[in-house]
Amino acid sequence: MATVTTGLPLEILQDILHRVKCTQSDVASLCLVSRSWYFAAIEFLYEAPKFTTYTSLKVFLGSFGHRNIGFIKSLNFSGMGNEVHSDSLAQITAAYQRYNDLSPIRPPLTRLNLHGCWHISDSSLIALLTACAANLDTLVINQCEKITTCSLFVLATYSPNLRHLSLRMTRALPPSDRLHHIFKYQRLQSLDLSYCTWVMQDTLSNDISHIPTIRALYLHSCNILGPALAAFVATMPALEELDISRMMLLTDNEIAEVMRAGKRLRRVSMQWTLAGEKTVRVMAEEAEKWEAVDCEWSKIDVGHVQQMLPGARIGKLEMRIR
Amino acid sequence: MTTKVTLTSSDNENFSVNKEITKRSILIKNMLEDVGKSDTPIPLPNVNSKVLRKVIEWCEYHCMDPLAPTNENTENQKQNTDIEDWDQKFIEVDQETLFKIILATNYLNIKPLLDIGCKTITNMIKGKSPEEIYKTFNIVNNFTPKEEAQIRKENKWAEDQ
Repeated sequence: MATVTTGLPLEILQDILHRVKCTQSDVASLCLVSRSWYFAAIEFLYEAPKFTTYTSLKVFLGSFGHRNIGFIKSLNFSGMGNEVHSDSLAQITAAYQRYNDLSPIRPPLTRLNLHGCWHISDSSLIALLTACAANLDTLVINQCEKITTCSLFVLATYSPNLRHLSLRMTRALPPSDRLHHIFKYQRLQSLDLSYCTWVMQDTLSNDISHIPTIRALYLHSCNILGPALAAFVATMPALEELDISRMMLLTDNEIAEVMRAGKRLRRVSMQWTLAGEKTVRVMAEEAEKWEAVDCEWSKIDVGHVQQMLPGARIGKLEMRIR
Repeated sequence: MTTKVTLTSSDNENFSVNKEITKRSILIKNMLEDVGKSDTPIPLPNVNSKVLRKVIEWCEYHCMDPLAPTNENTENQKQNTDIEDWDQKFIEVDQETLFKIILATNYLNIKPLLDIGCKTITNMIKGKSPEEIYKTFNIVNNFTPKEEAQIRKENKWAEDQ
């Protein structure tokens, strides 16, 4: 068993490191204590680097080398969008390419969060995905306005393990009939299309409905008519979670039909909608199946819920049932 | 009448301990189950008498605690570095003894006490510079100046977190 200078076995030292990894600066200090501590600590430091200042991100990108890439499981640039440009991605891509040249093991990166990185170009993301997306489970490209279907094609080709995709507030994607061709061999479980103006009724009926593995779908603020949404929900065999908040075109009747159509629906968010008494009535038909229904700022009032769903816990009209 | 078990330390000191108390150690619990009824002392060649006395003291104090689950600690338990008052006083020992208690509890498989030992080391590391950590644990920095400079440069992004 390997031991470190203190005489503690490596497994115990790593247990200790597991505890202090929430404090990145402590782990960075441990890397400088001795060679043994460095080898025990370095993977914890790079597993999921966190950036709280623009300076730390700039320094990270400036010193990003292939040496530590094999430890990175999650890269999260959310909140640093203004600082991440196409050349930032090019730096990371180059480091991953060197890693791929030297290592027989594919990069272990499973989560890539580029939320708000609106500067990045399609070509820079394509190059990055080609280099590092082999084990990707989750990709977030919210507000990446320049991203097109080309990036999604590459994603589908290079990321066979992708389960979660968030395209919130994207603009340059096609209106319909492409996504299911792209992801037909994938096993996507959650798809976030909130605030996507390109999402239309056809996107659901011709496209998303051909990805039957989806369990969670987020359509916050999308412009879709009620009958089309209800018909779509009825065709989704695995759909358990749906966000229809701020879908202002939907009437209470239509939302009720959506709730009835989703045979496996358990969790629904319907904030700022016209959901009201009829929706609650439909929910009461199968009251035991609902796990969470968030209807804050809808037309549902406490009286409806108390009358028809007496077991529901009510707080800010966020019903937690069961 | 409570059943006693004899534990023999590495320096051949015998300790007669209530059988239920020794079951805090998964290693001893499994050994007792394997051998069945027997008066033969259980040798613990990796634990000296000073450390074994401390470990028994802890087991006696915590004898009424529910037995820890055998599965790995959850993420939340590991992130929590708070130690209860009695345990805090118990673990206020010199560093060599602390390391020996950690090694002994790892060997004896007493997860809650191992947890306290690891939390103590964690609390000794938190917020310290590399230089303070050398001093705290009496570690020799065996990097060459070039290696150290390279590591400082690569990891500089994490220093101000």
